[in-house]
Amino acid sequence: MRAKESAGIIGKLDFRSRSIRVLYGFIFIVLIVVSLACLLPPLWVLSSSLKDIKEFFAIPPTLIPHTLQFDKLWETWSQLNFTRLYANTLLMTVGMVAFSILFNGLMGYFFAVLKPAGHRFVFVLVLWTMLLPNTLGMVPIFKNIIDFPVLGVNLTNTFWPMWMMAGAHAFYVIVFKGFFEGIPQALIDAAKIDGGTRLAIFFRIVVPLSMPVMMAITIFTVNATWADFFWPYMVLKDKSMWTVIVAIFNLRTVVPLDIQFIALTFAIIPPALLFLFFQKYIMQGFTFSGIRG
Amino acid sequence: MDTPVSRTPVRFEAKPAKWKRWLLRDFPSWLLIVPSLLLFIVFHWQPLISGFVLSFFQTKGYNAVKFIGLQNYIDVVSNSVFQQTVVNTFLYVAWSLVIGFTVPIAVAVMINEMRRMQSFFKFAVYFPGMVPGIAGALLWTFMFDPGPGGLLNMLLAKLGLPMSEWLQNSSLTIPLIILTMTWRGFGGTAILYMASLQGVNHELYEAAAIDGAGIRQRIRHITIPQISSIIGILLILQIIGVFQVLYEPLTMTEGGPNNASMSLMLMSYHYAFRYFEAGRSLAVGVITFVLLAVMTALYFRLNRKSNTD
Amino acid sequence: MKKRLGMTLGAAMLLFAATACSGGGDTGKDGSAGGGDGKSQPATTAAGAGGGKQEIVFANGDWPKAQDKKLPQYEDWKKKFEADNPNIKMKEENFQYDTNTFLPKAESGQLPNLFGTWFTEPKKIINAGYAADITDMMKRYGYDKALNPAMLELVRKDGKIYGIPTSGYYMGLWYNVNLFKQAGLLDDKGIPKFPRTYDELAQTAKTIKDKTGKAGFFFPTKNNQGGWQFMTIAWSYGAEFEKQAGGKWQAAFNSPEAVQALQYMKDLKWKYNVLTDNILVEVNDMFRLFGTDQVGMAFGSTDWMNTPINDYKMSKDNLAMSAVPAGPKARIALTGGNLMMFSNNSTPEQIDAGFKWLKIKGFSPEVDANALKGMEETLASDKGLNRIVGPHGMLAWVNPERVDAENAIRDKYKTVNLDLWNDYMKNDGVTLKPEEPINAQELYKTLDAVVQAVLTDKNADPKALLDKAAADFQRDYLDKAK
Repeated sequence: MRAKESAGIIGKLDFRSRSIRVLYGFIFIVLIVVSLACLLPPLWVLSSSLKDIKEFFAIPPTLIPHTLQFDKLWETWSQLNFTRLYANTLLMTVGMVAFSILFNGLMGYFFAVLKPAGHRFVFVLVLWTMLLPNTLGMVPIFKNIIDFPVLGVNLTNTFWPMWMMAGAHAFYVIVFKGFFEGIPQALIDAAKIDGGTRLAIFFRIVVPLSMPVMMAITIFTVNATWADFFWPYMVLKDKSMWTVIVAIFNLRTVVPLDIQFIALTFAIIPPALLFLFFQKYIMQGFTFSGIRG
Repeated sequence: MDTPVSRTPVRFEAKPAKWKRWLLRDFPSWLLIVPSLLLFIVFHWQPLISGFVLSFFQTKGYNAVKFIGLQNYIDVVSNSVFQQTVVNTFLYVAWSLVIGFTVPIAVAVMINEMRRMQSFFKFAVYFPGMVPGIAGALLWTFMFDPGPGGLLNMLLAKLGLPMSEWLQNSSLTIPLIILTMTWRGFGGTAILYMASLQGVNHELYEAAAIDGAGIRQRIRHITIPQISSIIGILLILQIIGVFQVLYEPLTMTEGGPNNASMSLMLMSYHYAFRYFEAGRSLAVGVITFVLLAVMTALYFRLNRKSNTD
Repeated sequence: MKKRLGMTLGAAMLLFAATACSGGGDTGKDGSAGGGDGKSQPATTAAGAGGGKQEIVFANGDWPKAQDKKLPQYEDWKKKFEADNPNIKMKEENFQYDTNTFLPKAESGQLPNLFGTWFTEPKKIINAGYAADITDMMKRYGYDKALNPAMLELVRKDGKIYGIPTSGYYMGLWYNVNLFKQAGLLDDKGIPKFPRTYDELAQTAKTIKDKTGKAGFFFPTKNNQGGWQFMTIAWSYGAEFEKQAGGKWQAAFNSPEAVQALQYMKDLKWKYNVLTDNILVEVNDMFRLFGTDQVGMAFGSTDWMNTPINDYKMSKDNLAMSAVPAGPKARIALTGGNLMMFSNNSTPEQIDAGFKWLKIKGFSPEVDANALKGMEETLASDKGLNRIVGPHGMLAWVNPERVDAENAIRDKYKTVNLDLWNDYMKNDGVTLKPEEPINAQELYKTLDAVVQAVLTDKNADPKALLDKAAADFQRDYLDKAK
């Protein structure tokens, strides 16, 4: 509670002033408007999937559905075998989050804290991967997945390609670097004097102090797992390995569109729930002074 | 309080002999990122280098047939749409700076002030990012339908304003595409800013308040300097990202009307995936890369200058 | 301290490598069971050539999706196929030609042995070397003689054949019977009054717009489809696109005839106002709009006739078709169609298996009852699904026995009133024309932009636009054509 109150610019004392109270109210209203602009349009489209198909595509669209067919929900669930899809997607999510946090985090730590000789050069290389667009690498990357270099194995129909790609994400590396640079050097020096290894300092000092950004990256990764279709679609050909979005994409010309949209709604619910779970850690106000012992 | 704490690398025991020092001090650090480096090699660097090399060859599929030097580059640059495409790409960036850059900062700072409903606001602003692409695309066709049945036109009509052609008005196409990108992406960026705002020491605010500093002064002298490094990083990442805009024009306008929203990456995509001309596609990619490299180098130089000033 | 760190890391990496291996191991097994995997193919080749009785794996991309109602039919065919050919194992795979994924798949040897595509594609697929030369098999099974020579020409390069045309179409006009009824445009037999010229088309579209408020005519402008459909109109106005003069190719589409055709497009939007409000659309949007009664007419073919029925639950009786209208100079329809190809890494045995599969499906030049059984089963199942059966476009076959036999079966299972379709099927007085020879896709792209310009800008100058487009196309492509 204490942390929450003190996180903002407006302090407790300020609320004695009337103009500050007006300002606070104004900000509140702005945020309500912004929130509605973000929430209503997609919710409206997704809820439209319960209309019958002619009404769904009518122009001008009906703002409030005339027809509601709730039985379509269960029909979709069983028709697409969502239990299986959810299980697969969750498995892929767990791996992607682990790879994303661990390998991008270590690299961020490497650039921000360890800084051995030559780190600058590697950082430029990492930065460059962001400058050369994905579409260019697509074909060679796919070749590497079919015939993994050195190991010579074919990784199609496994989650490994997606997991590993999550572990090599330049954007996250750079964001991690930016955040880790804000950790006071004194804390790290102190840990070093206590005899911590590099890895131990990463897990015991850097990670706990960076919970907000760890959670942010987790949220992004979870979201990507549930929404990005290209690589899963290319890699997971076997039906038993399909994730939610792969199934939707694979069945896009067989299943009618209203069913597809219900399936899309199902694809949003788990990441939305996970978001609600993780987001509270973003604002928990970890203060550096709090970690002394 | 503006000067950043001087940053020095962690010094694990320093020893006289150079190689020994390297072995002791730097080698373990490198060891730590070996797996990450391997992943980068397999999924980024090797593919990109092979693409770079191929851009100097006449290609059959993705196989080199004959070295032709800069011929692919000449073909691409002399294409009648190229010039407009480059201009468009810069326009995308310019509009994204106008529309997309400040919104997430402002929203993050505002949400950070809220004493209640923070979770709701965070969820709401991030929600558009969770909507899968197909649903998003359909949403915008409903929104931007240029007839009287389009949702936004219905709104304009209610307000007594004239209807708009939206995406079909070639001077609105790029700003509107940027608007949809911002709508989709600003929540994620705002969350990073919020995470960053947690690093601000609240005691500074209290001290400033006691000294009589107003809200505006506190933002200017405490908040902004504290999150400025993240602002800088996200700014350059945004420029890089928008410069490579592909998915949105591909699905919303396919580069139209009359190439008004054609971007460099869309051009590269068309060459490769539609016409199977890998060499030319990669040449466009390399040109994009060079332009971006110049821009980032400039940015970092300016950034360093302003930091030392 | 440091030692421990090193060991931990070493262990972590070992673990990483080991799990990566074991993960791959699973798919390794999977892969060798399936011919779709590029790496397993050399092995099967060697085995197939050596032993003869060795098992051949045939990756069949001609397979419906998991939820498709046609699936049981295909399962039956597969059983029959494997019973007839005990040494061939079929590995089925739903393959859909898709611009986003074809290139990576083809480039990594991940295409199934047999895959389908359409006629705008073979030229570049052949040029990129992704399709196998199947000339010998075509001859052995008599396909080269029995298939429509004009269609075969499209899959031939330097005398070799790279594909099997399976169905052809020529452009016609689709009519939404519901909207025509509402607009009072049906005759006493319930057949739409077909416009015979492009001017009549504009008038009819206007009547629909005035009476029903819905768009009268659909015209795509995205994904190269704008240029593609513009051909049919422009040719009928007497325009030419690529002309050969003195051994050189000339972009000729800034002629007065072409300008007139483009002016017609412009009028559809600004004079008659009969197009959809949103003009940045493609054929997929047409299915949606047509299937939900929001557009009266569109260019279309029999290939697509069941799409709005399947995707948008349109009634099969809501569609009628006629031949394309006439322009001032001619009456020309663009032709195209579907085809099958074999991936470049297919062995002769795998290609042979593909032909055997097509025969079981009922797609072969033979006419005995056994060979036609597959086709009959297809139509029966379509009928059972309440789809359109009866109308057809260009047949792939030219041998008369085959054509008659096919028509007889089609008649037996027909589900719609053929009066709604006869005008299209007779196609009287219409000249058929294939795509332009040089860089057709790039030409369409160039014309897409031109069509978009006149449909979004009231003040656009058709002549100036075409002058620029022709000059650009000349410089970008024709000057480089050999």
